[in-house]
Amino acid sequence: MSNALTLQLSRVWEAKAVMVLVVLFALLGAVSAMVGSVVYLICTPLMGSAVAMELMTLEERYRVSCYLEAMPFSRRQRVSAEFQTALITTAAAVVLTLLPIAIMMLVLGWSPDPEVMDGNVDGSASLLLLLLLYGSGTAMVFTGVMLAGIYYGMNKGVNIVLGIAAGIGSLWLTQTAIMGIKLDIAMFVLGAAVLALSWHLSIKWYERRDL
Amino acid sequence: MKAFEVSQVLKEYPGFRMSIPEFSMDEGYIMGLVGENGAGKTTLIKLLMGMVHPAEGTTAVLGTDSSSEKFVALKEDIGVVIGDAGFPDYMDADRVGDIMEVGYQSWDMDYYHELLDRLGADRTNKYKNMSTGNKAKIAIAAAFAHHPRVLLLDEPTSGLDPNVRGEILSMLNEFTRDEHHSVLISSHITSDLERCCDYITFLHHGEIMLSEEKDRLMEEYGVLRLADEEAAQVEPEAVVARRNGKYGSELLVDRQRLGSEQECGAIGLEDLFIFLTEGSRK
Repeated sequence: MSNALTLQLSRVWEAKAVMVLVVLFALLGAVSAMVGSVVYLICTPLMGSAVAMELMTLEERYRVSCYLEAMPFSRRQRVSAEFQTALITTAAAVVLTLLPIAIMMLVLGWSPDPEVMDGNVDGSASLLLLLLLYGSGTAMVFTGVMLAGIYYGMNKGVNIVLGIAAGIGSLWLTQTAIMGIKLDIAMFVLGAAVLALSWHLSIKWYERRDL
Repeated sequence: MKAFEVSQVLKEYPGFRMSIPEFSMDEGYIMGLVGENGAGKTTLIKLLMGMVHPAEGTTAVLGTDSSSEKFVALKEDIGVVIGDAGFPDYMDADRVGDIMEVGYQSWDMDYYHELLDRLGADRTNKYKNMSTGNKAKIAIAAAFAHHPRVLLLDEPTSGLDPNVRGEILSMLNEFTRDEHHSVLISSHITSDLERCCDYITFLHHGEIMLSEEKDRLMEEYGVLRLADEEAAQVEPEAVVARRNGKYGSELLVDRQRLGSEQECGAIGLEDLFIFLTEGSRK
């Protein structure tokens, strides 16, 4: 693990307001899944990825960037640490969401009822795939759009609008009747592609930027 | 070895242009950077750190190009205070130390605490409740605590009382007792620079107006305060700059070119800078 990543991870608690939201969304997601809605469930990984965005926002607000820049890390390492942090916090949010669902399934014997799941989820396996693939894919689209915008030096307001549009656009698909394993996989692949492109471009943009 | 070097650098922002043909200092010395607000002091330090990219030319610290891959590792040897940077409001001095410890391999936490105590820094309050001076103390301790070889300090003493400033100047002098240690320090408090610097550089509108050994500068220039009629008698070649006031003229003179019969007063850095930037040349 690079020192730049260790540094970012050591700062994760600074985004504690977002982390509280992640926990709330995880609980809300589990409860709402019981009554047939999966939107909150998929929102949780997206909230998890927002932890990295919050760290960057704090860096900008308090002008910490110059001190981080003075440390023996390359800009490539710093950008990569930011993306890796987003991936780790997204994964942590997925695990956090799985916990109450696992408890519901294993302890309470609950399983999704296709009759009340808007036709989107037809069993436990598809619910888990929805969370793991579709939820992670949505988070990666959101992360990719937001981080690239920040590293490009985009106006903050425009960047937030774009990020929210990407997030809502991804989540909206869950309300259509085309859910299923193929869409889960497609969203995951799209998310991975957006994230990879954003990562690559962010390094290029940030390496040229003046602080 | 050169502590830092700037070669043929050009950097432009809207409303600002920095152009420096050649500028350097050998290891083991302290150089003071004097300039008005917006003269380019922070930009120069950021150029040396590779935080800002020149449109043309190169900058280097300890012989390593600031834009090279090797420079990343060299940052371990550079301590920095940046005037327009800070730490988050919710951090205290110990948390700043924790962050720095992860960033720098050679971070010395005991030394950091020792420096905070030496400077009388408040370690209990959060940043948002700290005075400007206390924030400066933490920034200075953080710059020293990973045992760098070069210090690039942008306005490190602003907001500090004379006692603490004196302590920092002592720290800088102790630091450069090792001939491989060097300091570039910018400050508006020219009396501090007079006390600790070996070299002085005047930066004006993005250009180096003058860069000389401090003692030579003090010997070279003097000031004459004369009535207008007397001022007109002074050897024109000796007059470097002139300020006309209500009660006469003040002349900045080159002592060597001045006739031996004329005695002139010593000049401080602040007056010298004001003379050179605001006084009419000759």
